[in-house]
Amino acid sequence: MKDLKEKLDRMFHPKVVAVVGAKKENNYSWLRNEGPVRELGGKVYHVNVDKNEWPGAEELGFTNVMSLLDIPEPVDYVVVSVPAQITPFIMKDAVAKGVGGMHFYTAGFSETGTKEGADLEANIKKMAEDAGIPVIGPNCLGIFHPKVGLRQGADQYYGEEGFMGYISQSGSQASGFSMEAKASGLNISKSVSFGNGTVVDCTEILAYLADDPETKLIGMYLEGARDGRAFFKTLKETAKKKPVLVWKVGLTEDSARATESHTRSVSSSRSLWEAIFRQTGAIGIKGVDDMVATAKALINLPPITGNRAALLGITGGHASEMTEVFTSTGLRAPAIADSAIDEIASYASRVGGSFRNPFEGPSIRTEENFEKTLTIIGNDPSIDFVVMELSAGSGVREPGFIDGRIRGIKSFQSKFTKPISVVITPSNPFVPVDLREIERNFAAEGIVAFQGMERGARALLNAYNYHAQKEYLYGAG
Amino acid sequence: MKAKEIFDQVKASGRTLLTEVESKEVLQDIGIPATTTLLAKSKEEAQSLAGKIGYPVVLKIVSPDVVHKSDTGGVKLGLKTPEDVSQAYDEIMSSTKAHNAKANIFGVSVQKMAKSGTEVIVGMYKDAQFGPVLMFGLGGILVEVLKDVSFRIVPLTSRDAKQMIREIKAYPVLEGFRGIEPANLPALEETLLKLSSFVEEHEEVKEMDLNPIFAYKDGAIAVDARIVLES
Repeated sequence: MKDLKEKLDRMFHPKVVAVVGAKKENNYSWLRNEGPVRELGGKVYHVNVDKNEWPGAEELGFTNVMSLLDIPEPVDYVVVSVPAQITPFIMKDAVAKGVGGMHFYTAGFSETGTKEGADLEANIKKMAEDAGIPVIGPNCLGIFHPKVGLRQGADQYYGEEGFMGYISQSGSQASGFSMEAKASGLNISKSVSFGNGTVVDCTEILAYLADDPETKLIGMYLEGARDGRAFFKTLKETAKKKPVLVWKVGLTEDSARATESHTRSVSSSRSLWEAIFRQTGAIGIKGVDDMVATAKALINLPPITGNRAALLGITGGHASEMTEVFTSTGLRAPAIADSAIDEIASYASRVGGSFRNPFEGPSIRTEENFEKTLTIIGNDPSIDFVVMELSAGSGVREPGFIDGRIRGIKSFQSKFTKPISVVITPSNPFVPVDLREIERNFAAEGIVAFQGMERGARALLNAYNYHAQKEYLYGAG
Repeated sequence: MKAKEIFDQVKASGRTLLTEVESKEVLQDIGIPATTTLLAKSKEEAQSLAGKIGYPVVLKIVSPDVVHKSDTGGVKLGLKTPEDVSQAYDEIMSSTKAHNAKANIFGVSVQKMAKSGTEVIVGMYKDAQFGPVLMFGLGGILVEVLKDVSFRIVPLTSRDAKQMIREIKAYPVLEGFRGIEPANLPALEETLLKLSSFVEEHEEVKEMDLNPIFAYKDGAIAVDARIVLES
């Protein structure tokens, strides 16, 4: 589509929004979703031929009109939720009005596998393309742009800026991810649920976010791409500019059937997707948790340029478990230099602990030793990054312990550029601790913390692989 | 002959499957080394071509109706004399006819028995979403069972070609393992890159199999090849 970037810009920053077909039956939720636009300087009209729906919308403060053509000013973004059979009439009005862009919540198109559905979808495509109107969907939740108040669900936040872009075929995955990410301190810049991707597909949205200065990295939940070759090309161009995290589903025989009936997606094999990640430098992601953790590792840590970790555990058992978990992924935890070991032995007892890597016991138990040992690790050229395990129960048992660790880590950060992060493990299920709260407390101090060793190990591995592959494909820098 | 001309001829004769002789001519046009393979339409011609090429030779059935030549007794290796060629010719003909009496037989291909090397396979197929894809792996039955192959979407960069060869589990074999002669990796990379540009320019190609390629210390050569065109 010609001038798509400018058109998407207009859609993402609407002065006037029209919501077509809100219903009391679902508590006017489509109107409520876009409601915050009004607080942030825009206008929202409600379009409905059924006047019985007018009083409810009016109570919420929206102006009702019969048709898009009755709106006395230019319309930048139209959100449509009418039965599929009605969509040709809405398209006709939208074309006549010359609206900026549209989004269809409506389902009942090609994804149903019926000829009628496919025909209705083809009609939207033809009308939109002839008129040059970008359409998102059908069969999706559309745009979440918190800064301007456009939302996919009424539980999403607004009036805040973010840096992570998200592209999702599924609406529930898009809105769900935005909340999961928020809970871990990651705000969304712009997110799009694109459903059947009839007119604007994931490829166009990806290209748009690639050049969006607000978006520092991009996550994708993908069932399939309409034009695989165009997607591949755009993915490659985008991954060169910023990290792209791709969570591809539909890779097993049964899940391929699920994605086909959900969004009419064609499946390709898992090995082919792995090849695509290698070829483009995009990162393959295993799920929501992996997406959030990897995004944190990439955005909030300095680049992980080597795979050699120094691992610090609370106890010998935790340290051994941690070493097993981390090095099973392909990361390494090499023994530190003999000279470093001798230096640590000058202030820490060899009894009741170890400090060759992993570290546990006297070498890191007191705040003073913790700082000293971190400094030795920081200076050791055989270590690329540091991970400290924190068993959540210890923070509860020993007041001030976590504060001491935070001070030690901050002191390390002030001296070294080596990435340092924390994995929080739930140590005792009878001690009530909120892992998320601990994670947020660390985040407030500028420290990345992951819930669980596995999640942390995978996120750090992803971040390392990202930097390594990017350098392999495109050279350093 | 140019690949394009060969494709046109094959299409004009109502076929989509190229014979081994045609497929290798295409490889020659692309610049991928393949064993010189000549078509013999009779036993006498086979003997005479074998004499020209030099013994030992290999005879293979040439028929658009036979896809898996060795499964139906259509391949005879290590033929050292004109008598060997004569006997092999008869055996190939009778065995092929026994499997498919209606098979349209063009003749037999005669090629020099290549010095054995590390067997490598390179393939190309079209993915429904992403179009042409190249595949790389070691030859042999174990690899088929273990599915130890790597893929890349066309077009490949030279870095893609390097990485795809190195990411198979059996890669150490190519580096020279326990006395096995190391493979010439640049020659294999070159093969992948030439194939990539070729399929990018020729949309009518549906599938290609270079199976096996013999990899040596000083090069690599396709010993068998199969090309299928879009119908």
